[in-house]
Amino acid sequence: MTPEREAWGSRWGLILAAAGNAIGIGNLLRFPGQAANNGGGAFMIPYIVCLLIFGIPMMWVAWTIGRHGGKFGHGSLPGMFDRMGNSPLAKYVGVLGLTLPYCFVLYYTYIEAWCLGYAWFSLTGDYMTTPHRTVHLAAYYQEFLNMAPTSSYFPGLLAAGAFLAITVGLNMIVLYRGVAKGIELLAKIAMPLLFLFCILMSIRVLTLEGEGTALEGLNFLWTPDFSRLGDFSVWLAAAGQIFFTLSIGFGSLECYASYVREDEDIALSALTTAATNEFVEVIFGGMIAIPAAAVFFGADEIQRVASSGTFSIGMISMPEILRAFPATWLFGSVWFLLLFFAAFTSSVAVAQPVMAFFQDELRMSRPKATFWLTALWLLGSVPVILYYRYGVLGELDFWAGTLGLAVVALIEIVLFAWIYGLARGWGELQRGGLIQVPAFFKPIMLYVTPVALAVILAGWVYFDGYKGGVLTPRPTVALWVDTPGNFPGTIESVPPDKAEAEFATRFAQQARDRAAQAEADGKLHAEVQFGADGSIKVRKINGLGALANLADATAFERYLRGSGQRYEERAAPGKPHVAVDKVVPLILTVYYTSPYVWLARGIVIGSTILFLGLIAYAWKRYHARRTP
Amino acid sequence: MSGSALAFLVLSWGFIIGLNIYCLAQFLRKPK
Repeated sequence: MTPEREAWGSRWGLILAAAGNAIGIGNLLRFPGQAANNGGGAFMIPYIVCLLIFGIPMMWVAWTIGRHGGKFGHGSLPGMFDRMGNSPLAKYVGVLGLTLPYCFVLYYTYIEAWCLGYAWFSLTGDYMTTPHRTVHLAAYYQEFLNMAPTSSYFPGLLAAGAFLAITVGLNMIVLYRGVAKGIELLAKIAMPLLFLFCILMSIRVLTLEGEGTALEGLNFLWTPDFSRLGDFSVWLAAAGQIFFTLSIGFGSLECYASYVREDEDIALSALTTAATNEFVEVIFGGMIAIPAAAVFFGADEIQRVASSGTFSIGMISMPEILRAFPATWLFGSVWFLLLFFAAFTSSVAVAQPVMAFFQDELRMSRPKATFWLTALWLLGSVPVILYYRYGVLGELDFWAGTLGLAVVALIEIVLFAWIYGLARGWGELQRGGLIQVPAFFKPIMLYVTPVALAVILAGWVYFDGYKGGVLTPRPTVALWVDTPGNFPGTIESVPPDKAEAEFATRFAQQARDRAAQAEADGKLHAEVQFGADGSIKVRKINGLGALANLADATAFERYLRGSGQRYEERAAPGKPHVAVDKVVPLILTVYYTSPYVWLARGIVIGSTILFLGLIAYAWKRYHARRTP
Repeated sequence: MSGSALAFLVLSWGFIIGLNIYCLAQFLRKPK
């Protein structure tokens, strides 16, 4: 026992902090996209089934493992598993409860930093189009992250780096202040603000008038498509959403629960955390982004926005919508601060297990633990920010933010129900409980949850890892407008001719093959004459790096035609695009991603080895003679 | 808004709001 271990100041503080842990960017952006693309209202059937068969049971399991570990002074999974497992190896399995949160915060704080950056850009009006400057929000976002080979809006990574440093700094201040004076205080300030911002944004969206109405958006989101219910991928999507939204598998819920006193309730606290998270997700998550897209883009284009992905909805479509209406500085800031606070309360939660490990197991003082965590955090962030364009963030997300979580959850349910034993585990869960957990959850925890988790894990390995091509890194090809700020229009895609489309696919593959062969990046710079009639003429072309020998004007022309490219301008915001005559400088890039993907894997493997070493050291030095 | 969309919205919101009210009621029933 470590009697000086911290504890929560109040039950409400704990619940707000735990809800803050669960409520993240995914609630407001990922949920509506997933629902819209997987059967609309009918998506709620698998979603609620998954919530009941493994979402809520896993919340209870995590809180039980956490409070049990906390009783012995452990705030992270190695110590918790050591106390519940029957083997001296159990603590080493718990290394995942350090590696995953560490790798997760490395990229999640970067996303958090984008939100902080965009809140600032909203306040200063930086992404507003002025008579002197055209701001294409997609290019703006890509330049902010240094993905684009151009610099119309941001010269390099200075802005993104500065916001990341501020974000990591804010996280460390909260973690340094400790559980009650840091995390709990943050939750008490940030969570009411988060709710207030949600309400403000919902009212804003419902009162907007444009191409369509907000009701059309709600209609689009909720119209059930029952034909999708037989589709395995829809069930997998629902399961994945429940997983991410409740923050299962990071070890952060367990860590928060470890600061709950032995005889205090966890059964109702865990359920309330899930309920609060669902409230923000299902009610506010569906009320903001998709209805806003319906108002601005019209009913016909919501599908395109909904399927454009989490970041595209948040960082490209939402500012596009908000800047078309009055008081962008206010609602833009509110929107991005909402995302920022949602992310902030999650990132401190996910980082806390590592802090707790340093303090509880390595017996570090809080300043010392803060110092080492900051050092590791900043060091690991460098590749994420520098090599974002090579997919480092996506790779870390696959291992630490997707696959690893299902592995941890599966281990935890087996540990709880089968190794520690359901009867004892159930007793732990119920001790001090303010509610009686219904007995039908016993067979669910024993059989249904483990099977469901195993299926999710297998599904992710197969669909994302194997079929999605995550396991074998490939060079990536992208087309950019050079100096986009000088052009009022954008390059848009229209459905191309089939034969030409095949040529374009072959050309892109050829570019990838060249990069793989040369083990280097490549670029094609071209000056292209686009015609209002859809014609394309390459006037000049120049190849660099791996694509030095691919600078063939005719082939590039066919590639552009085959990928359906044409230059279009809008007559006014919200009006349709029309093709116009224009000479546009284009850049085709191919990024050789392999070394960077392996660098990301190196971070996962390297941090695992480091933490394994620290566990071995801690147990040899401090836990050799533990009290049973 | 179509009837089926409205039905799913009401049912889903109802479930989530109901769950929240239940939790709140349980806390208030047995104040610490």
